[in-house]
Amino acid sequence: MDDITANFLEYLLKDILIILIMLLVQYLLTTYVLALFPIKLLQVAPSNHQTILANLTITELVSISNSTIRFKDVLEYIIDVFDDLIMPIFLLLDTWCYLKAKGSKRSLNY
Amino acid sequence: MVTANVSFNYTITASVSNVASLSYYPLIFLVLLILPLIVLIITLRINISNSAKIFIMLFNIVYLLLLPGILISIMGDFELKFYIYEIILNNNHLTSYFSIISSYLAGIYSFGTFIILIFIIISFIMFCYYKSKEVYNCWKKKY
Repeated sequence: MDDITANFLEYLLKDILIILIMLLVQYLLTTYVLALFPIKLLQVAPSNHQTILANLTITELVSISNSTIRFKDVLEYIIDVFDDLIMPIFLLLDTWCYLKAKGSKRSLNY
Repeated sequence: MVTANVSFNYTITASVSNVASLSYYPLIFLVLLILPLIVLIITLRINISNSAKIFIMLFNIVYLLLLPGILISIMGDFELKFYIYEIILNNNHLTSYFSIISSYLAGIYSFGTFIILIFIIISFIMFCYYKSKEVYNCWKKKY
């Protein structure tokens, strides 16, 4: 394997890793982390035995739930755009750079 | 030192510093919220390569994405201690102070999620900027 291809593969791997990390974070957010958020807490009767966060007032719970839901919605949108649009464009541009360098047999130095 | 036998067969012991340490929770929240901003400013300010900047931005984004989870876990911890100390102290005047801290935490959390969203958007934009700079460096070369 020549230096140009090795360099390109390194960049390709980095781009794919970034996409995978973002997908992992999205998975963590939607499954485990959001389970911590008290979104459904408003439906729970404020008894200390049922929920730890029962000491909060209803207004505070509403404000926490609203910001959490908004955060989740915006985040999912941002990660989708990033993974489906921005990173594929960079992947294509990296490939284009590689082909350009390969064609002229010059080193691929970012 | 206060010792209480709470309903079942276990004993909880709490010292004054244990109870007073609850007042540090808003401070922890603020430090956790300010940390990514400091990282962002330092990354933009210092002279390092584009690849290093992309790497730091990416981990800043991952930290920011998981930050609300961290904050809500800390809040759960606080509320649990709040509940335990409330029972130990028998609902006396001191426990009303905890409610004030609790509402501070809820306020910082609600406001913090907006701040985090802004930081995430800025970090994403900077990430894309430095990534495109890398590609542009390759593009402008005359082969």
